[in-house]
Order: sequence, then structure tokens, then C-alpha cells
Amino acid sequence: MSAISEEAIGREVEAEASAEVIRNLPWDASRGTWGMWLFILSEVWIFLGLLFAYYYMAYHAVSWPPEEAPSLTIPYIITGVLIASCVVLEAGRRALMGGNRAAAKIALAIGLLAGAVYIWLEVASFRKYLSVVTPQQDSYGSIYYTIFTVHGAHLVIGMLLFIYALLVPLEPTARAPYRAYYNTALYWYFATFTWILIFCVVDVPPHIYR
Amino acid sequence: MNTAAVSARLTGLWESPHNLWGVLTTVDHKTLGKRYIFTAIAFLVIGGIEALLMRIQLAQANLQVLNPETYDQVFTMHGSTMIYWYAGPVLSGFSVYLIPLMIGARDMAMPRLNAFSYWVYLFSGIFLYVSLPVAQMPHAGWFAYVPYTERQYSPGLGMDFWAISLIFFTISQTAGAINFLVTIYRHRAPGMSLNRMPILAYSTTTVSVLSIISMTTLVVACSFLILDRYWGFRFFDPELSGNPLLWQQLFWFFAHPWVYIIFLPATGMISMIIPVFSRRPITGYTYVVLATVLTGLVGFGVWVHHMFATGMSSMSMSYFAAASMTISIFSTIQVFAWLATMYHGRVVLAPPMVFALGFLSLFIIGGLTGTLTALLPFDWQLTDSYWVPAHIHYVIIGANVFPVFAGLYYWLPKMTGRMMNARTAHVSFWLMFIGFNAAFFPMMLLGLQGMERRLYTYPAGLGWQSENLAITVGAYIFAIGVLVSFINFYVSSKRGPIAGPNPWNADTLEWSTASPPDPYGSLHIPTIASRHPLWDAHEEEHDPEGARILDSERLTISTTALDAIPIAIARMPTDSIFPLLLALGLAGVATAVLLNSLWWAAGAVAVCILFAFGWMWPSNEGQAA
Repeated sequence: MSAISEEAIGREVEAEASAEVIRNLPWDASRGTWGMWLFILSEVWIFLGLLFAYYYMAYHAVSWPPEEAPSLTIPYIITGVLIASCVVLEAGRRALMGGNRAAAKIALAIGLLAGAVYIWLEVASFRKYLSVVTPQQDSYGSIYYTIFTVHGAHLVIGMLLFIYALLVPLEPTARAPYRAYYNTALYWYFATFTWILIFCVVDVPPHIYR
Repeated sequence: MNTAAVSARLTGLWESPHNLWGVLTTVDHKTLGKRYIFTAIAFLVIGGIEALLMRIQLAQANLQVLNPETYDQVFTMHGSTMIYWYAGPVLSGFSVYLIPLMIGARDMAMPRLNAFSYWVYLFSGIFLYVSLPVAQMPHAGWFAYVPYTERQYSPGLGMDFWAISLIFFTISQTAGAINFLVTIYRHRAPGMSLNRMPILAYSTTTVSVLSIISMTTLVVACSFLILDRYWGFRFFDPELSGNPLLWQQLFWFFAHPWVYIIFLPATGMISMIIPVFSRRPITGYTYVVLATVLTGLVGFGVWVHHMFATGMSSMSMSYFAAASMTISIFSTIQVFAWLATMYHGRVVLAPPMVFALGFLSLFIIGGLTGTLTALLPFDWQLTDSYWVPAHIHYVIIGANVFPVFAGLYYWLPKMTGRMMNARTAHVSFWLMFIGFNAAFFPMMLLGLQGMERRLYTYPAGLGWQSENLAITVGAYIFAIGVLVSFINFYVSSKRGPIAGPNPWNADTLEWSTASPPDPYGSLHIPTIASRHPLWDAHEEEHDPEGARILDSERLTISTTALDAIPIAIARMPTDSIFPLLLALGLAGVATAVLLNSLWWAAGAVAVCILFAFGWMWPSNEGQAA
């Protein structure tokens, strides 16, 4: 049994939640960030499921990929674009912490531009690779195009978040008690992280093992 | 302080208008919780009718009541409806209703997301059942193995209805899971440190984490199936480097945690009920919590036990067999905790307790049959025989349906303000208990005698007819027992004796509110000094300066995750039409995909994006979450 009496616990709790404490509490801006982290967790699991499928097929296949692996040029450029956009977003976050809203909005606009560049590059990469293998041709084609299209869809969601963040207050306010800039940037970092993950798992290994 | 005036002010802030607009826009967790439970019970009834149809067909050998294709469709819809659209959401509904009240919050952390989860759940179920009037029902079981479910062998829209409605459903479940986690870790009343939290909150947390991780795997599996069926992709084609077992791996990685999702909150509810009707706190609170969390965690490591007959390597299957046996330890810990609580207490045989005891006996039998099938050689003899449905139903009906009825008898007085009739409850219980055992115990015997499952009929002369007839009769007796309880719920909620705030003399916070609770929960956000707020001497709502009333807007208190020290004030959103609109938009996307109209799908997605912006737009009054 605890040496502290129930009465003492009761008094301690009431002190922690006294009128003075409650009246001086700030507004809660964290629920959106918690929600974003949990949403990111669920999305990461989609990619882990896709990568599991990739590995499962690779493990059971006679040769993998069955035909020529996609070239690495465009994926390298995309990796650079996404990492650069993350650097810009982080700089924008620090600028916002110092009160510079304009710089933060510019950072969001650059992120949006990076997303557009990504889509243009990815479409170009697909068109090149479709002449080698189509998704209907074999399971490598199926999983390859699926993984990268799902990732592209996530980047489109990120771009929509940029548009939204450009239109609303970037920091918590009474009418918008969430960290619009921070949560958006968080999502974009996740999207870049999953790009690097699928780049390292799908794009690179066939060039090492061939 | 004028209590009536304060109460009126809070009611004005939190209450939704009593008109159609209020119905469509409300974000009140109590209303949404009741809707979830009601909708889930409706699916229970539909799934039950499907089961009764199946039992007519199987009552005797070589009957032609249902032809093979129709039988396959009926058992697929029965399994899918019960496992997905009844068993998970009914427990979500209890948690949506109870968790904010139990932790002393005014609502969930994201009330509009809560409303959205309900609407998506409802529309996903309706979407599946559109397949009935258009005679295109899925026919491959609730597990939909490839290659049978590929377009070549399952033409028509049946499997498309199944796969798309499930992806739609996962959105509801994942959103709900995120909402529960933020609520439980952010909005507990001051002083409700983790070790003072009700056990239902721990069960809900565990299955929320399970949902977030496992539902996404289902999305991947169903997406692969849809891509194969609509666009000719080749994920599962062995001649083109695919693998049919990939479906099973992805599906069971989702589906095994899912069976814990439909089980653990029910045990959480039992852990709330048994102590109250043993007149003492639960024995071994910490062990029960650990057992719950570990069941969830280890539950991620056992999925291959659904694939023991697929010819995988003995080494890997043995690992999964061992893990499956380990999980039974955690359930056993919970069972012994409940038994010890009853042994050290004074048992009161009120209706909730009677159903809890029914749960206990059926769950023990079901769990034992499960540990037997965890053994590889035993499973190889009995896989795909009637032993497996016997096990499944002992655990699902025993450990989900009976706790749900216990929960309904326990909490309907809180929800409706009136007590249920105890004598009718006992009649219903015995009909359900005897009917259930008469229906499902012979299935174990049939399984041992070699009758296969998932067959639309069986030959005469094998000695199976008398058992099958008994099963059918038992099923109907069980159904009558369920009906008796429903009549009890309906009539008593209108004419039963007034319940008052705490008719059971229970210990947790929901019993400190009125019955039914006011729209704002409790007048003051309570402070908590022990696990049993209503049984201890601490005065929860002692708030002489009225600082914890928070009646200037829709507000609740945010506290730290471990010790529940107040850290912020949370603004809560007003009612909104956008959760419903977004759910309708998603239903439009699902329909467009079903009909392979991609331009319409793109248009519906664009509309959804607009609705999402509308939902999140900073408004003049309330907030957007």
C-alpha cells in the first residue's frame, strides 16, 4: 500500500488543477500535431505493406526484376529535389519561429513547386519505363508502378496541404488552433522519407546485384 | 453559483438542435456512440438472418433450399457483415459513448472526425449491401482468397463490392483509432494518471494502435485485388512472378489483429462490469492491463496460424505455433483476474453479471479450442473442418456478443435513463446460452468426424444429419433469445423504472453524470485521486471557484499523457455538415471506382478535396477538428 494517503493525493491533484492554474492555461494546439503523427504512422504502414509485397515476390521469383531494371537518373534527380525542398521547409519553420511569416509562405510555395516538379519527373520516368515493362505484363511491373503511384498520390496530398497552409494562419490562433505550417512540413518530411525508403529498396538494389 | 443557470448555459453551448439539421451535423459523442451501436446491431440482425438461412440449407443432407452459388454468397455476406460491420463497430460505439465520460472529458479530441467515422462506416455497410438488390453479392468468404477472386473465376461485381466497401470501411476504423488515441492521451481529467485509468481505456488504446497498423495492410491487399480485377495487374499470378500466397500473407497480417480488435474492448467492458457486481475492485489491475497490451502486441506475430496448411517451411510455421500458444497465457491471466475478483468479492447476479458469466464460460471453451489448433499436427487434421467455425463462434459470440449484451444491460440504463427488466433478461440469457451451446458444440463433434466447412450441403449416410439438425434448432433458439433481449431493450427504455445516475453503485466516472447524461457531460471537469472515483472519499467535482466549469465556449481540459496534469485548454468544434458531406463524397468515389468510371471518380475526388477544405476552414465560431 502506498505511504501517501488518498487525502494527500486528492489535495495534490486539486492543487494541480486549482482555479489559478486553470485560468492561466494556454490554448491547446497539439491535437493536430498528434493527429498528423498518427496519420503518418498509418501511411508508413501502407508503404511497409507494399515493400513487404515487393520482397515477398522477389524472394519467390526466379529472377528479379525479370527484365531490365529502371534507370536511376530520374530517381536521383527526384531525391535531390525532395531533400532540397525539405531543407527549404525547415528553414521556413525556423523563420516562422522568429516571426517571419513571409519567408514561411515562400518556403511553402517552394515546396508546392517541388511537388509539381516531382510529378513531372515521375511521369517522364514512367513513360520511359513503360516501353520496357507494363503493369499488366508481370508482377514486377504491377508492384513497381503501384509503389511509385501510391507515393505520388501521397505527394499530391502533401501539395494540397501546402495550398491549404498558404491560405490559413500558419500558427495557432483562436479560430484555427493547430500548427498549420508545422503539421504540413511534418507530412512532407514523411513523404520524402518514404521516397528515400522506396528508392533504396526498389530502385537501387537491382543495379547493385546485376 | 447558480447550478441551473450554469447548466443551461453549458447545455446551450453543447446541445445539438432537435431537428433534421441537428441530426445531420451533430458531433456529440453520445449521439454518435448510440448511432454506432444501433447500426452495428442492425448489421448483427442482418448477419443473423443470413446465418439462419444457411442453417435451413444445412439442416438435412442434400437439401436444395439454396443453390451452391447462393449459399456461397449468403455465407460470405454473413461472415463479412458479422466480422467487419458488426463486431468492430459495436465495440467502437461503446467506446465512443463511454470513453469521454469515463475519463472526464466533454467530448472526443476530434469530434468532427468522430462524426465522419460514423458516416463512413454507415455508407460502407450500405455500399456492400447494394450488392444484394442488384444480385451481385460477393461469394468468396470473408477472406476472399485468390486466385478464386480474380476476375477470371469471379466475374461480375460481387468481389468488387467486397473489396471497395472494405477499403471504405478502413477509413472509418483508422480515423476512429486516431481519435481514440489522442483523446485518451490528451483529455483525461486532472489526476487520472495512467495507473488510474479505467481498463476499457487501455483496451481501446491497444486496439486503436492495432487498427492503425493492421487496417493499412488490408488496404494494400484489397487494392492489389482491385488493380488485378479492373486493370489486369498481376500481383498473384505465379506464371508471371506473382504469388497467390501474397494475398493470404497480407490479408491475415490484417485479419489476425482484427480478431483481437473485436475481442479486447469486450474484455475491457467485462473488466468494468465484473468488479462492480463483485462489489470490489478488480484483482490484479496491472496484470490485466499488461495482458491486454501484450495480447495486442504478440497478436502481430501469429498470423501464419491461419495458413498452416499452405506448405510453408516447418521452421517458420513452428515459430508462429509457439507464438499462438503464448498468446493464450495473456488471456488466461485476464480470466484468472476475473475469477479472483469474484472469489474475493460478493457476487450480485444482476443481468450484466449473468451475461458476463456466460461470456466467461464460453470464452474459456473457445480459447481452449484455439490453443489446440495452435498445435500444427492437430491443426492439419482439423483445418477447414467444422472444428474451426466452432472455435470461431465460441470466441466471437462468447467473447464479443455476450459481453456486448452484458454491456447493453449495464449501460442502457445510463443511455436511456431507465432500467431493463431483469426477469426478461434472465429468460433471454438462458435461451441464448442453451441455444448457442446446442448450435456450436455439435460443430466440434462434426469437425472431429471430418465434416468440411464452407460446403453448401453434405451427403446422407455419414451420420451427420442429427447433429446438423440439432445445430439448426440451437441456432433458432439462440436467435429467439436475442429477440427477447431486443424486445426488453425497446420496451424498458420507454417504460422501465427510472434509473438515476448510478443504479449499480459503480465506481467509474460515467456513473457520476445524469442518466441520460447532459449534453456537456459533467458540470465541472472532475479531478481524480484514485482508480475508483465514485468509491473513494475524494470529491471529484469540488470546484468552489467554478474554474473547471469552462462555460465561455465549447471547451475541455488538456492534460499531460502520463500524469494528467492540466497543461492547456482545448477549444472544441461546433457542429458541422462537412463530415457527412465528405463521407458522401467518398461514397461517390467508391461508386465511380466500382463502375470503372475514372473521370467520375476524379470528379468525386475533387469534390472531396473541396469538402475537406470546407471542414478545416477556420470559422468565426468554433474550431475545425
